Amino acid sequence: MGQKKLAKKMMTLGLCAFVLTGCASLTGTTTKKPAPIALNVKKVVLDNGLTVLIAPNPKLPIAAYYTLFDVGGRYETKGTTGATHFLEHMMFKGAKKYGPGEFDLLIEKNGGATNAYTTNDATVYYQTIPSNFVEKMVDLEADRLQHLLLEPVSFESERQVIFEERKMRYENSPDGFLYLTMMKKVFEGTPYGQSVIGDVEDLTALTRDQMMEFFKTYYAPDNAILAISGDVDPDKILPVIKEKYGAIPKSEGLAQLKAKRDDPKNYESKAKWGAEYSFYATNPIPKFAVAFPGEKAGTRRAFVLDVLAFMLGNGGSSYLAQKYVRNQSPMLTDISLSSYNLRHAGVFYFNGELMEGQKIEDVKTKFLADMKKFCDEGLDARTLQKTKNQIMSQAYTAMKTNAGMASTIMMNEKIYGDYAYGTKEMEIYNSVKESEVKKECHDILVKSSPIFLSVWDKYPKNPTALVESK
Amino acid sequence: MKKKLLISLLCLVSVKSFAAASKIEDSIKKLNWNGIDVVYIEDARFPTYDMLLYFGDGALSDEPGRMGLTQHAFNLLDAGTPKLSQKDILDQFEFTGTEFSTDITHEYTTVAMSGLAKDINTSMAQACSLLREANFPADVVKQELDKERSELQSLVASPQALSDRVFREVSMSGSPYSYPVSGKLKDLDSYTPAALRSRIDYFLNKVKKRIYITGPKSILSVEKVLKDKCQFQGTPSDYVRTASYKLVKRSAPELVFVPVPDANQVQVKIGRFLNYDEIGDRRLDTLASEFLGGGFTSRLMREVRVKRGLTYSIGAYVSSQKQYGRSGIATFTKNQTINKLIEVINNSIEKIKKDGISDDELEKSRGAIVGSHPFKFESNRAFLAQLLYLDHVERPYSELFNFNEEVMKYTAKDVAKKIDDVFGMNVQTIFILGDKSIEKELRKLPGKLGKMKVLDYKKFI
Repeated sequence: MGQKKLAKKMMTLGLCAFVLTGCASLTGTTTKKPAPIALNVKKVVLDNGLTVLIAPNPKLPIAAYYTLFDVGGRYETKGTTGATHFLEHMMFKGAKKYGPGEFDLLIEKNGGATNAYTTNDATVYYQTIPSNFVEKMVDLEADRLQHLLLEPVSFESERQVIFEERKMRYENSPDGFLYLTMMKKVFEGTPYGQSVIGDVEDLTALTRDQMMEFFKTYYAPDNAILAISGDVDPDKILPVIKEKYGAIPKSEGLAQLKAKRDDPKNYESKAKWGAEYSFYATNPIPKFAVAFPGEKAGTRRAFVLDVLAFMLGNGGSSYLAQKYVRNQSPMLTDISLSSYNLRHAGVFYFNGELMEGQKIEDVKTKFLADMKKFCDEGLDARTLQKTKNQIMSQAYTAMKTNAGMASTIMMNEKIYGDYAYGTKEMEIYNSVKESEVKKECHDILVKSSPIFLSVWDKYPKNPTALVESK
Repeated sequence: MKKKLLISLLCLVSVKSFAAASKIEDSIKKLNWNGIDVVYIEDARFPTYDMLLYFGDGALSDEPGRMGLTQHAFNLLDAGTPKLSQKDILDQFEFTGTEFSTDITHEYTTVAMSGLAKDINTSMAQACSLLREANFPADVVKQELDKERSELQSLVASPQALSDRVFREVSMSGSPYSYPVSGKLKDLDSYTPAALRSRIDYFLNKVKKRIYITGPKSILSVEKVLKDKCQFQGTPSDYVRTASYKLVKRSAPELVFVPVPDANQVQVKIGRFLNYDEIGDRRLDTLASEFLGGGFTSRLMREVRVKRGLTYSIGAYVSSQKQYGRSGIATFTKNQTINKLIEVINNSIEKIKKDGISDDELEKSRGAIVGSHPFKFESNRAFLAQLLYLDHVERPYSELFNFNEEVMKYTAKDVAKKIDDVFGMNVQTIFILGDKSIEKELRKLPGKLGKMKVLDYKKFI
């Protein structure tokens, strides 16, 4: 499908669906208890395992319809990278009842929009539609879940489309290429080290039969969550959902297969921590990433690392921005810090771009030497409170649309098994203490070794000329 | 009841195809604060606010030698005041989670703020102190401009962003709107602290202002801040930019190639400048661009991506401000298929001219834009922005609320004619940015698409 994003950050602060009632004043640093906004969500699990969440919102005659399948790049085996994302494209290419072209056409001619994205951990399909189209949407989604065609002609043309997407996102984008390379190096030897978009050789070789097998295995009601937010009456739409989805069988043996694939041993990275990698890309001024081992989603440590990343790197007044970008002798034009928490592992990483005239070696040396200062100088009580205020503000923003609501309850249901987990999330963020953040900062930035990656048009073009040290 | 005003408003919007237009318009409160027109929509669903401050002038007020000054003056408002450093200013906004941003077009300027309702007065006072007291410290300005220079040098590594920039200037050449709002590298040295301050003073003291605001009723207390701290005052003589220019008439297409190093994908843009006498009917423009290049079922998407796999995305647009507009088709493809892509786009547009479009196709496009209309009201910021736009182009709000009925009036013939008028290939700039190696292939394109001109991207940054 079209503008699908290979979302980097499904499990981030943007998922917070609940908010605090107040925050500290400009001069104060006190923290008030979070007061959740009551969610009106009806949850039903069908006999075949499909989890359904309905969040009525009658304010406008519109709705958001989200479907998550618990399959991402992590379930691809060697030689089939990109299969999940390729399948996501093919899901728009016709099924038994609604043939080629009809899915998009019906949605768009009624004023809706449809798209999808694939990550390492999940595949998500979403629509924004007029509310009088929700019933039809149920039929459309249930049809392609049961009777996908994978029609051969469009299979081949879509393969070409994906090659173009790959060029757009990674081959012709130094930032995308740097990200892709970082993930490969950080998660080397694990399923997260495989690219979600797929390697060119694998994409070229992937067959329709392989994809159909993949589809039959993972696209099943017991591996999915459906969330609808908008002008819908649960009592009216749930019978329709039961009628259309209810007869779709579970995927036999899926639980065992997933347990095998999700074995923690599979996620033991063989990364060469402390290594440095340099790659040619078209940017005339170097860009770099510094990656540390992070934390998997859902743990308290993951929340603390979120706060740490915010405290050091969020906004123009942040410590990192002030130290490297907004000062009298800036070394960088841009710096950011992210904590990416996947289901089974995580990465904590900096991204930066040099100021013209700066040397990558000098920047690397200074940056790596500064890590301890980040923890000693960049973290204080006021910055912690600022971070909590920013998280709260973002949480409000996430709630304001049907799409934000549907996405939030769906992801919380997936990650925590509780669509209303946002309350607890905010409590956790609000309970994080300065000392806790400082400890994690030292543990991750001072005590562990990073991988340093950079891209630049002065590096050798030949990929085999990769400079690798240590 | 008033607490639910926006909710009621939005429900009204949805019912019976916006038939209750008069009630909706009644729900938009028009106030006057010290001579300044204020548009207020109450929304008590969340303890947050959104605010847009409009100025009736934009980058057209920049003078040769200092082009881009307006954008830099507004963007550098946070550089410092006599009392506060840049860090202090940024920290104050960020502490409360307040978003503060500026947007400059050729015709007008907006300052946007959003945050928690309880912080509106504090944040507005901060914004006012920037507008009134920003002194643009030379060292901070230098550091920000150095950063911008560095970023512009890197633009070559972002083919889409680079092609957007170069295409805009090339396709609008001959009009007063072609020069980038942000200026170019050569302009940056001219932005002195005094010039930047003078630019803000001009906007504060001479230019017409309007305020658009939504949130709980408590946020109306910001009136006092605007009056006392900002000293905002409106008078009938406040200036609104108007431009006079000779109509830009093209009698032939132009083919422009911009080579960049090591690109294995070609950026393609096809479009042109629209004169003030071509932008009268924005609803028909919307319908035509939806048919040609909106969504995944448009004519171009079907022909280029679905049938042939030539690209990942393709879209078409017609956009306009008060006195001018632009049209464009934007896509990309691999180096080997550039000529094929151009051929398919050309044939698609010619076919519309020759065969027209069917009533079924029209119905699909009409359904798309009518059905999606309520989404324009889901976000408060977007809603406010639409009201601001209508005021700017001097059109009544009823255009927003009777949109659906008006769209239904257009025939398939109207849409086909509009596509030919706006997107007809005989008067377009066909812009291609890609690897040097494709030049030879491009020279094989039919002569009717124009004689190829090769331009150096560096002249445009």
